[in-house]
Amino acid sequence: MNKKEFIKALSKALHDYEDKDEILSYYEELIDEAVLNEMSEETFIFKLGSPTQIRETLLNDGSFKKRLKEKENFQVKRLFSTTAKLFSGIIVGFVAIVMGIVGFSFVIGGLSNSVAIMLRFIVNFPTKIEVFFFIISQLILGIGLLLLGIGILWYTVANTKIIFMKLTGKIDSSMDKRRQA
Amino acid sequence: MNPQLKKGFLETLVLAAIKEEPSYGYKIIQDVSEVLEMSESTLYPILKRLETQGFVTTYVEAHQSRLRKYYKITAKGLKEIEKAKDDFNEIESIYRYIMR
Repeated sequence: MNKKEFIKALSKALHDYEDKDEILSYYEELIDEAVLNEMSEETFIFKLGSPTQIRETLLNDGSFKKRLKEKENFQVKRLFSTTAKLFSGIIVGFVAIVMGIVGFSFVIGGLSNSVAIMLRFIVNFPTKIEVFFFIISQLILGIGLLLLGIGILWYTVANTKIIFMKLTGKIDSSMDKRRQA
Repeated sequence: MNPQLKKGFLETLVLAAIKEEPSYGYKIIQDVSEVLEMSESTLYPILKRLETQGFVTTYVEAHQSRLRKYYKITAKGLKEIEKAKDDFNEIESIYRYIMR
């Protein structure tokens, strides 16, 4: 990370701090001094720790707990976002299941049809209509596989998202506790 | 060192680091770290606290076309160092007791 990237990330991490600008210029000055003292910018920034760690250190300092900007609508926002998360979770799950079911039945239908027509080919030469049906059943099989694939992918992504949400939720609540303490 | 113990010492160490002449963030960390290791993110809250308590004042000065924030000790800050010195005998006897 270079200085510009670091300051940007730190600014984001400290967005709810009252004296964010002061902290930013403190770190900016430190980086400049380090470079002036022939230290590599990247090495020094690595030594500083991640913006999240810096935030943690500041939060752990007693006098800094109060410096968080008070958000009046904090509770409302939380409630809203929880409901939104729940709804999106249900919708995502529903879509995944529907896609899975449709995809699965398409695969079974397409596959059995294809096999049946293929078996028929062994017996004698296929008519044009039979070839046409064969192509259609192959197509259905393809669509089925595609839907099944998307469904599985969707489900996996949604699940990782839910795990991620739970994780961030935990962090949120632990920060709340700390703020109240 | 025990973090609780370290925390108490760091504030006095920072004051001691600027006792002779005003200093700036980077140099304070280097000077204090010679005695007790201190990270960049620990110094900021300490400086902030020392400032609100009136132990230090700050001013900005240009240095090599950049701005440097200097921390200068106040009379109150000097008194705080003296107080810490008074603690020395007590700390010494505490350790004598612990290590006996």
